[in-house]
Amino acid sequence: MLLVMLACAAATLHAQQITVQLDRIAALVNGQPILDSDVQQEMRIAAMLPVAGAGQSTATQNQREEAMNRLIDRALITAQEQWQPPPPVTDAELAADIAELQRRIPDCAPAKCATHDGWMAVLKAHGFTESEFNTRWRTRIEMLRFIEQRFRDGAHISNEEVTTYYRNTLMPQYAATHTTPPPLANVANRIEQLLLEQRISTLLEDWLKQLRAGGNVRILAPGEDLP
Amino acid sequence: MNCRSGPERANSAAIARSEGNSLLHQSTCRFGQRHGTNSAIVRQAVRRTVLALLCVACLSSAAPAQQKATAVAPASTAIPDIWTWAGLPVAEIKFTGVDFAADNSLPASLPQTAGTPLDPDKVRESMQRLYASGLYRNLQLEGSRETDGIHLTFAGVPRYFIGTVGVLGVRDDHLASLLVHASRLDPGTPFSEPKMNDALQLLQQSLEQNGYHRSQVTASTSDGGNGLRNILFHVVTGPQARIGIVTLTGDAGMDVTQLRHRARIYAKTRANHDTLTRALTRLRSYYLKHDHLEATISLESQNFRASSNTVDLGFHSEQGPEVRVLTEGMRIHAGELRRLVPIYEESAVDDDLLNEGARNLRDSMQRDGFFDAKVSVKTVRPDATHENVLYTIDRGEKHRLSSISFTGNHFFKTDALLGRMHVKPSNVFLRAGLYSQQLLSTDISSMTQLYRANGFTEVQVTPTVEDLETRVRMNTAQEGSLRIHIAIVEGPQQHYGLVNVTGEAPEHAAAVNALLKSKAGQPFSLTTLSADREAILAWYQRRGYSQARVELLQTEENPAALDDSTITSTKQVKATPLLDVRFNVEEGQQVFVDKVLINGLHTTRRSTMQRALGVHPGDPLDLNALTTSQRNLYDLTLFNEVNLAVENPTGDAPKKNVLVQLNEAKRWDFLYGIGFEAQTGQPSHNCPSAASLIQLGINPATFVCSPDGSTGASERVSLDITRNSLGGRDQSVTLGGSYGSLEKRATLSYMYPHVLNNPRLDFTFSAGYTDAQDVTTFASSQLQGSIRVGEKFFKADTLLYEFTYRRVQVNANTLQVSAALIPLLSQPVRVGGPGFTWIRDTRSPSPLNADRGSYTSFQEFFADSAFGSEADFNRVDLTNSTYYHFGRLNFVLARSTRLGLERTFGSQSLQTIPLPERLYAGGGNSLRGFPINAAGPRDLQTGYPVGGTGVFVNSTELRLPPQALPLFSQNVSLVLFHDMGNVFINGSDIWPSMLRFRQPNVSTCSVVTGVTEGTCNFNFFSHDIGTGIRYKTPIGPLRLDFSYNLNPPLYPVILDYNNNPPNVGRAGHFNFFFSIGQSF
Repeated sequence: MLLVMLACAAATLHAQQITVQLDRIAALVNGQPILDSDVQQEMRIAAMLPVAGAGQSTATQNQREEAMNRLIDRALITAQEQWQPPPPVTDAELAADIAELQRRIPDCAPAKCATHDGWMAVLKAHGFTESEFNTRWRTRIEMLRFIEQRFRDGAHISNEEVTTYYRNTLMPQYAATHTTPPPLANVANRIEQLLLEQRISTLLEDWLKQLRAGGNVRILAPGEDLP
Repeated sequence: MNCRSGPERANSAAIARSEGNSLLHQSTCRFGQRHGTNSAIVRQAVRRTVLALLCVACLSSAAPAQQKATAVAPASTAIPDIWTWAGLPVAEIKFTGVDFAADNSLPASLPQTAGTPLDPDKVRESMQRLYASGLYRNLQLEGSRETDGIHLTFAGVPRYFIGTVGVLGVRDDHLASLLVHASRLDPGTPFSEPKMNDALQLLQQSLEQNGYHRSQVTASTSDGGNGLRNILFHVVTGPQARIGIVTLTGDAGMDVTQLRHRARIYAKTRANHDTLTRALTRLRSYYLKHDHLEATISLESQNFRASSNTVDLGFHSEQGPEVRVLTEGMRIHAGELRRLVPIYEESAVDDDLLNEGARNLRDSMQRDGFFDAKVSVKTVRPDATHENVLYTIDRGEKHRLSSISFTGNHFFKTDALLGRMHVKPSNVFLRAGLYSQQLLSTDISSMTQLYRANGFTEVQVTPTVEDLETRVRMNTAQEGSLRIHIAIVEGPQQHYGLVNVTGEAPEHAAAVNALLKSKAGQPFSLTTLSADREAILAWYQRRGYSQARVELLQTEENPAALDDSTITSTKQVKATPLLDVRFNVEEGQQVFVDKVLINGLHTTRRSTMQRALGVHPGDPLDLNALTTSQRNLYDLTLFNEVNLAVENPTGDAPKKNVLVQLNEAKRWDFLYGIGFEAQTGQPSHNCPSAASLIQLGINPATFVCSPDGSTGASERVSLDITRNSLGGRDQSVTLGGSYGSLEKRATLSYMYPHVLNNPRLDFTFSAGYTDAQDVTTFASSQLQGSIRVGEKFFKADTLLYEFTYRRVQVNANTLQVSAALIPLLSQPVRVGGPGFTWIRDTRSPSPLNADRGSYTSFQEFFADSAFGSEADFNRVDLTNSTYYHFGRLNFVLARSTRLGLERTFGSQSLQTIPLPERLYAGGGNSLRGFPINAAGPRDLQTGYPVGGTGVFVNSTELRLPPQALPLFSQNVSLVLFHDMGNVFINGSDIWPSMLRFRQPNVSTCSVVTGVTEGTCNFNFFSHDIGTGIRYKTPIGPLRLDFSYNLNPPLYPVILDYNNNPPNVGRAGHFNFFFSIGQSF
């Protein structure tokens, strides 16, 4: 028995001396590398968040592709930030935003994140340290601010568009359920906000397409070399 | 350890990684129990299971491990990653693929270091940092867990950079250079195969554009060492194609034959880019000349025909209508219309150009005083082939801008503000002045900006245009008078509050702060702030911080702290808030030079080249130093092309190589030139003496020779042949010569700059023969040799140490002096001795056209028999010129004074100074009241100037500022000058003659009969006045001077070569001189 144990220990030790690849360059965006660890981290964040569509794919490969695309888009956007840097995120703003996030994350339900320890546990469960998560989240907030700064000022919804939406979209929906739609005046602000978000989303998508078309994006398969 | 199952498997893997589990633990998980928090119980369960299943687990894990003992398993969710081993000690960090020298700081600067726990963020940051260095083409992180901890390896594929790019197989240097640039392969930039493929395509395109359609291009690369790949393109050009079949479509207004002729593209013409470009240009010019301003011509197809090596061209042209520009309301000369209406220059007719033409016409009217001019434009098509552009002009009443006045300006003087304005009051050159609403608006705007840039943020500048009473003139035109008054309310001037620098490293703080000229409490100045920012940026860039950024932040101090209780005076209430200024510095990475890699030296010595190179290993990488080095290398005149590049320019590495790529110049250099000078008093050459003429049996009456020369031009051609890079050094030998009516010269010179590697010392040896007639009196020949050492110290001072040895002989047949003197003065004389010259030159902006500074030269020459000289004399020649500019229009008062003295010594036989060695004055660069070298004493028989041993000349010039004139823009200016002085037989005669305006004892000069030799006194100061025109050119001003001599001398002419009886000669009153450059 002892001999067997010793033999197995030796084999195990030998096994532990395997050199493994811990990280590699997974993509290049305009010469800036996206690491494989970046993709993995993005996948873990997606799994945490309650955002629709993120992390919902069942296949790991699809999750990975989605994470990669998000990172590529983020890298393209970050490169544009230097021309119009957003206002920096203060600690108080970061804390407030994380508090809001905690209210939405399924893992924090019902009140697991009410305490600091609870929140630490959730983070740890997803493989994050507090500083790592905070850094990622701060970057995310800055990017959202940049996008808002870039597009919101240029996006305007006219009264006519609100009225058209009310008449052509909202009213038919209520009619289908045989309910009386609320007056236009009551819902105009909400409609405007919705249309604004749609508009910004469209602008953002077009902008991202432009950035991708004009940029140099290359995704590397494992083992693939760069020219 | 926590084990979870089902849909949370992805998370369980993450959890497993976070606890540093291996394959063993993951396989054990299958037997584990889900337990969120009681890790102790879980560990016991695992321990029990592990002992029971140890062999199975270890065998199953060891087998695959043994198979992969030497392989690197790719990262996946089933294999450890950086989070798996987070917190474990890192025993070692290695680098493969790219070798770092021991002194390279990059490895040590990485966030993750050996001997510290593995931090995933730091490891990832280290990966990013390494890749950002630009040294890696690809990079991965490998790790192994050993007994002493984690061993990390940053394994990468090194990036290569472009070294030299050459072209082989092309004889034409210009084409070869073109191809190298067409490849877009810049030395020092990253090398890649796609770039090479693109370069091949670009070269092929470039060759085809140049008519080489049968060319073949291949490329080979070689290892240039130090991470460089040298690229060589092998080109087989093949024969250059010719023009083939030409087709023409569209309404061109010409047939193919006419097109070929007008574009000059014939059957034998080479089909290259230049030919086709010129063809299109000629066709466009043809249409323009025939007023088809809307014509379009394009080359739509170029098809190469391999069988005949020709290129078939397909042109398409639409000539469009014939466009005529007409005016209504005022006649304008056709040439003026073409200049003002840009449709001719642009060869197009569109609304923008027509409106621009209208604006130009209006501005032109306004310049003539029609300040209310209105111009409108419309186009009319009388038929399909004609188009008329009609400008309707309403000039309005003529005005004159009589004055511009200012009130309220305290900070800027009126002259300073007026000098910046485009609006100008009337003057001698602009009768009506210059005014328009638009010009005035522009001036007011720029004045406001000027005040704001100096801290007057609340300035108000308000113009008022007064139309004074109309005056009725002699002709029917009435002229009104305008007066502009500009009221300025400056308001309070902002001052600096706090001025500081942030973001700099502590060791740089003192030096950077010392650069600031903006100080707390000083008045605000945008110019000073910008200069401070540039100074800080330059300071960092000189020290290798090429990525340094300096951001200027300004905030007003809050004046709210002032409440009623603290206000003590009205002034305080109205005080402008102070402006705090912060220079926020981002230093970035400091980069040093690793190696300096030199390429292209074949015949030039490395030591010669390196002397001019200001970049050395270990220096901070200063891009300005690269530029300076490039300039210094060009100054050696040994290289045709000098390229300095940084290897890996965009990488963020602490050390970088500098590439120096040189293309040596041809060692033989040929320089040829042609030119001329025109003036009065041109010496007549081949003017023999009467005795010589009689001896030759020639009637002297057939020769016209005057002591004052004649009006004419002296032409000159020159040729220099230089052999550069003697012995691989920046030494050269030049054989040069010039041939002209005044001078014929042949010289051999050896130049050795930077003697003994001293940049301040130059050595020149020259020997040559000169045959000159720059004095009407004689033609002389000189055989001369000299050595000279030049020393430059400080910026403006130069010392020349010289030893000259020459043999001078005057041609007896040309000597126009008393016959008795001919034998003596025509004897060859050897003159030799040392000389010394000191030059101090602070003229600016350039010596050719200075408006400030001074020029002083002191020359001393000592000829003594001890040096083998046959004439012992000492000559001192001192010149001082000063330049002052004054007035708001920048007048320049220039003055030049020259004093020259010669003194003989030694034995009697050595005291005759040869004629060519005497002092002379007169000409375009001296006393302009005389022809060249004609001032001073005259031979008392023939009246020809003979020079003297003393000379004094003082020239004063008032150089007027250039005026805005039609056609000449601001390139023409006038000068007014006065010259005085003379040449004297004895230097001691200078001072007593200074106040003498009239020639003394002039009556004796008139005694010419009954004597064989005249008597005349030339000891007086001659005065001349004059005016000149200067036309500014890129190489200096063209100069035309007209002078009037107020007191030309009288002199006896006993022996007249024009066969006249003895008479009294008088130097002319009028002279003119045409040349280039100012007179002094």
